[in-house]
Amino acid sequence: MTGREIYGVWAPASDEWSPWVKPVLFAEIDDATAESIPDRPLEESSLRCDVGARCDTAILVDLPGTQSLLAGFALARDGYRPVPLYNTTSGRRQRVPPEKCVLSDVSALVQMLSRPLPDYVRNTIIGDHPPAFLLDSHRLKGDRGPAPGMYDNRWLVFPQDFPSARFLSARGITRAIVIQETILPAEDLTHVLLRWTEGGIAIHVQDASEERSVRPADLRRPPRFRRAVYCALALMGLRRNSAGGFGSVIPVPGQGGGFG
Amino acid sequence: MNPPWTIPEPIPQAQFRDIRLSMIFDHHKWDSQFGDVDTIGHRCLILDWETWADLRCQSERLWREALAAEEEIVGRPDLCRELGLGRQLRKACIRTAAQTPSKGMARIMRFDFHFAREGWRISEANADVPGGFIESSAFAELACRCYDGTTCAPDAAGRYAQAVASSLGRDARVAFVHATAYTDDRQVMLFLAERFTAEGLVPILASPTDLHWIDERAELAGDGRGLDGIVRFYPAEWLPHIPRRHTWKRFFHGGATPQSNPGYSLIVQSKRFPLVWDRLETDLSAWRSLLPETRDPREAAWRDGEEWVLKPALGRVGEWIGIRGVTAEKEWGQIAGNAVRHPRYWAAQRRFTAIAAHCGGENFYPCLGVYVIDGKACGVYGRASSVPLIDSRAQDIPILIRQGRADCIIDAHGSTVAFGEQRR
Repeated sequence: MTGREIYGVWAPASDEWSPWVKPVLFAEIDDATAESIPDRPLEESSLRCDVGARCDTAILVDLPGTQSLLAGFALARDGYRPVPLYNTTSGRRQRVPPEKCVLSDVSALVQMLSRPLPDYVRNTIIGDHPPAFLLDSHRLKGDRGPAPGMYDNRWLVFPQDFPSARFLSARGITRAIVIQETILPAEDLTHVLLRWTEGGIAIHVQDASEERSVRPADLRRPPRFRRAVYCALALMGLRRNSAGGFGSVIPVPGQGGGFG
Repeated sequence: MNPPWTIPEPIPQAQFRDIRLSMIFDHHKWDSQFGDVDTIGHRCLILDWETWADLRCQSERLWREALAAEEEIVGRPDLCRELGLGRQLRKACIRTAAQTPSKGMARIMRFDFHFAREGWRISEANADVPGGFIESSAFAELACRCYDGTTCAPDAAGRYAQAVASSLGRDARVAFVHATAYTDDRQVMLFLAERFTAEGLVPILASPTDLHWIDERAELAGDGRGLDGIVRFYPAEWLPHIPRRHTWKRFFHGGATPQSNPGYSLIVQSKRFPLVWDRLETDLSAWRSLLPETRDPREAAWRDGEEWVLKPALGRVGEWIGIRGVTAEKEWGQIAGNAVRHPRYWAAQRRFTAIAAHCGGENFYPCLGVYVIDGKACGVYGRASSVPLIDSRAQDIPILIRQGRADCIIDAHGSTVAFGEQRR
C-alpha cells in the first residue's frame, strides 16, 4: 500500500476524528518502508495503567516514540480510537539522508504506521469511539542532544492541532486523561489542556507505569498563555537551543545543505 | 452592487477527497486542519477576466508605489519612527552614511482584496513574507479541473522561482530561511523548493541561525561556502530575537547577498504605513484609493461605534485584529486595552462593508490575495470566512478565472501577456 492509501485507512473520510490525524509521516511511506518492516509481530505495549472504557473521555497519550503508538493500540482494545498526531519527519527524504536524528524513533514510527492494522484497531476507526490522541513525549527535548550533522526533527504541538472543547463537548466528551510518565503535562500540551478546561472539559492525568487511579491534573498557567506571541517565542526557543528544529540539518563543517 | 464573481456548485465530494489527498501527498499541504476548521474549502470562486485584469492592474500599481515609498522612508528616520516597528527594527530599517540597506531581489508582495460596497478595497499588503503559495498554485490548478471553461492565474510559486533564477542565474545556492520547527512554514518551503529546483536553482532549507555573515556575505554556518541568495519566510520582526552572533541586522542593512525580501520590507508591511503618506513626495494614489482611511488610534473615535477596526502595526494572519461586533467581546476588550496602552504600535482603520458571497444558504466573505513579483501580478490566494474577518480560521478557496477573450489580456503596461498557463 502507498502512504496515501495507508493514510486513508487511518483517516477515512467517514470518521469524525480523521481530520486530526497528522499526515506528515504518512507522506514519508514508500516502497522502501514496506520492505523495511520487520517480519515479526508488534511488541506489546508497556502501558500498565487502566483508564477504563468510557465514551465521555478523550485520552492524550504522551509517551516516548513508538511507546505512544503501542499504547494507542492497547487503548483500542478498550474502544478508544487512536489518532496519530506526530507532526515531524524522519529525515530519510532529505537529499542526503542523515545518519542521526535528534528524535531517533521517527523512522520506527513510520514503519509501525505502515503495518496492516489489527482488526481491533481498525474497528475503532470506523464507528462511534472516543479519541486517543498520540504524541511523542520526546518531541521537545529529543532523544539525544542536537549536534552538528544531525537531523533536528524536534517539534511541538499547538492548540490548533486539536479539536476545541466545544467540539469535544458536542460529542459527549466531558473529560480528558493525559497518560504520561511525568508529573506535570508538557508545557506545549498545557496550552491545549487549559483551553479545554476553560471550555468545560475536566483534565486528569494517569501515570503510564502505575495502576493507581487517575487524578486531577495540576495545570499551571504557562507564560504567555493565550498570547499570540506564544507561537513565535515557542518556536524561537526550540531553534535557539538547536539552530534547527523540525526538518533541518544542523550545519557541519565541510558539508553543504540541500533539500530532499 | 453585483459582486464580480460567481460561486459554482461545491467541488463534488469524491473529487474533493482526491484533491485533498493530492494537496497533502503531492503538494505538502500538511496543515489541512486548523482546530475544528477544515482549511481546504469545498467551494471556489470564479472571476470574469475583466475583473482579473482590473485586479492585476491595481496590484501592480500598488507594488510600484510601495517600493517608491519604501525607498523614500528608508532615508527618513523621522518617518520610520511613526511605523510602530520598535526601536531595534526602526534603527535597522534606515539608511545612514554608515548603513546601506541590504541588497534586494525578486521583490514579492501580496495585496489582499475584498469586495465592498465602494468597490474593491485592500485590507493590507503582505510586503514582508507573503504565504499561501501551495493554495494559490496547486489548489487552484486541481480545482480548475472540476470546472469547464475556467483557468487559473499564473502560478505564483513558479513565477517566484523564475524571478530569483533571473536575478541569480542557474545553480545558484539559495537559503530558504524559515521557522524550521513549524510545519506550516516547512511545508511551504518544500513546495517552493521543488519549483526552484525546476528552475535550476539549489534551495537549502535553513533557520536564520544557520546563517553566518562574513563581512557582507551570507554563508551556511560551518559550511564555508557562500550563499548566492536568500529567500526569507521568517517574519522580519522576529529576527531581533535570534542570538546576536548571527548578525540579524544583515537582513536589513549591510548585506550584499541578495534577499527576497530584505528586512526593511517591514516599512510597507506596517499597518501604520498610511500615517506617513502626507509627508511623502511619492505618489500613492492607488494606495489612497484602495486602502481605507487609517489613523493613529489616539486620533480615531473607535470607542464610539463600529466605524473603525483596530490592528496591531505588525500583526499577521489576522491575529489581534479587533472589529467590534465581529471579534468576541472578551478579545475585543483585550485588543482595545492594548491599543490604549500602546497606541504607537497600533492603527485604526476605517471599516468597510465587505459584500458577502451567498451560496447554499450561507454567506461567506472572500479575500483575494494577489501576488506581485518584480512588478508583475500573478497568482491569487483565496480565503473565505463566515465573518468579515480573515484570520487563521478562514478556509482556503481556489480562485478561478472564466476563460475570456482568446485567453489573453493586456497587462498594465500595454503588452500582451499569456494568460492561461495553468489552463485546463
